[in-house]
Amino acid sequence: MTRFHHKLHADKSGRELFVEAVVEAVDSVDNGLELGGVESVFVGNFSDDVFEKQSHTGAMMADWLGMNPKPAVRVEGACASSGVAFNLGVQAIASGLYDVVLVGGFERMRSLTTEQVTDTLAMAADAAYEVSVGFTFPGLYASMATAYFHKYSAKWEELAAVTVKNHKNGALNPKAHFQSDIMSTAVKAGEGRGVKFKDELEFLRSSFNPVVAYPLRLFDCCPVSDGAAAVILAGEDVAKKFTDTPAIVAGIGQGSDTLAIHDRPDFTSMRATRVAAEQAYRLSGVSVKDIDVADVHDCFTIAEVMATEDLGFFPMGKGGKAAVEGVTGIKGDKPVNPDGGLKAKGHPVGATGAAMAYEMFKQLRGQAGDHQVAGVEVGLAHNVGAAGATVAVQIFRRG
Amino acid sequence: MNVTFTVQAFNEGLSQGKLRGSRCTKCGELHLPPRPICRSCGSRQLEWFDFKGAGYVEAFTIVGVPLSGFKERCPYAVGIVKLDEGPAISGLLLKEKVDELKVGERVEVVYIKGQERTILGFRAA
Repeated sequence: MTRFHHKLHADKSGRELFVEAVVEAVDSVDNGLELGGVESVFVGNFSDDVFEKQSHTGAMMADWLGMNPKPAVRVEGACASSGVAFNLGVQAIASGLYDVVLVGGFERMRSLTTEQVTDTLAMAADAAYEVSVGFTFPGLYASMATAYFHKYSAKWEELAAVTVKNHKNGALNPKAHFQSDIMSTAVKAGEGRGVKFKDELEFLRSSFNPVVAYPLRLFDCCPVSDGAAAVILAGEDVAKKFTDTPAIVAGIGQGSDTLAIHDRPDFTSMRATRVAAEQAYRLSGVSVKDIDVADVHDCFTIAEVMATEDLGFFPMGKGGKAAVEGVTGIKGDKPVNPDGGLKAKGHPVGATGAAMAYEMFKQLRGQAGDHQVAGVEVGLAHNVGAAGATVAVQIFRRG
Repeated sequence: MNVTFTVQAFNEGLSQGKLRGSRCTKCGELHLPPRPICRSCGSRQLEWFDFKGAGYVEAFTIVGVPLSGFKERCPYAVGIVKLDEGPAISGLLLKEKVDELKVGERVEVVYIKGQERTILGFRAA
């Protein structure tokens, strides 16, 4: 995967980002792999149509990789685009049609202003019945947060614990968008204006952290990033040719839900996550307690809290408390988003699901560097489209 | 198949001061906005149903970073209202002091006339 960032890739377009990610994936194959040996391409992308005025990016990426005339498809499931692309790649291999496929995703977002990005991201919500009354994308998650706070008497400080943890982890990940923890960020931000903060919470409660959509503040939201990620999938028999230490896809799952969140019976839990997780647990034979590490979809801090509950890591209403108590830290009992998550690693929408698979691959092989979780045998990736209308889950096992 | 339950018809309803959904004639399930296929029993036999527009705030936010079309209103409250008839729907929440907005607050429908369209909203009942 490329580094995720809002400035570093200013001289590149989406196709160069994707090629960069694929080249890293191909060149890292232990026993060597030629792109010519890859039979099909699944490209996750949310909205290059708007961001770069470019559609038809499946064929385009195959073109730029020199892979024509092999079949290529662009997959769109909002922020779950490449998580879905991953699942489709697995299904294509499981069907027996292919032995080796490339799955990945990209988003080149920073060509637009914040307002234009806000409008574009809102396209993943219900245009006719949510966006029409003023709902922004952060606003939808913020509404889930107010409902969650009300139901469980939870406090924003629980969300802040997710912010602090994920920025701490991002500081250990050279691919992350933000590579400084919240206290360092606070010191740096305060220096210019002669302000000192006694701790992270004081900074996060200050005007340096403005409200984007109450109760969510800037540091409750993932950044807008450019980036791409890619992984190679191979059938069990042929994978042995390429490496002695693969990450095994033990199970996949996928679910959908109403586009408009007002049509759901509960705003504090995502049905599509629960359904996708159930499938993946069943298919893999893995149970919740076996999960050693997880990348979950924390586009907003409340999303991580809800995900850790819907995936079964913690009882309903206890996800925030787990973050506060350090359970989800890299050295905790249930490490979540050791790579910094979307929150600190960044969220080039279409690249995120593939970047989660990339992280699980590294974690399972003990190659995650400073943010390596000790003794990882089983990992889980959880990728959400928009406000939960599409969810893809994968469970990986060390090969 | 009945195709009258459109986004356009719903919006025309708003401009006429009506909150129109659909009701399944087979099982009685209510849908707002109107749907052509019943979510409960799968029936395609539905009829128009006018909602009274009274309910309570189930979830909300106060938007600080707006959509391009809502800049002038910023900061504004928007949320989900659970109607007394059952379904819930998204709308603007009109309140003088948005900071005092609470989950559970009783509200009633208000039709906010714009230059090009009418926006669904709610205000304290």
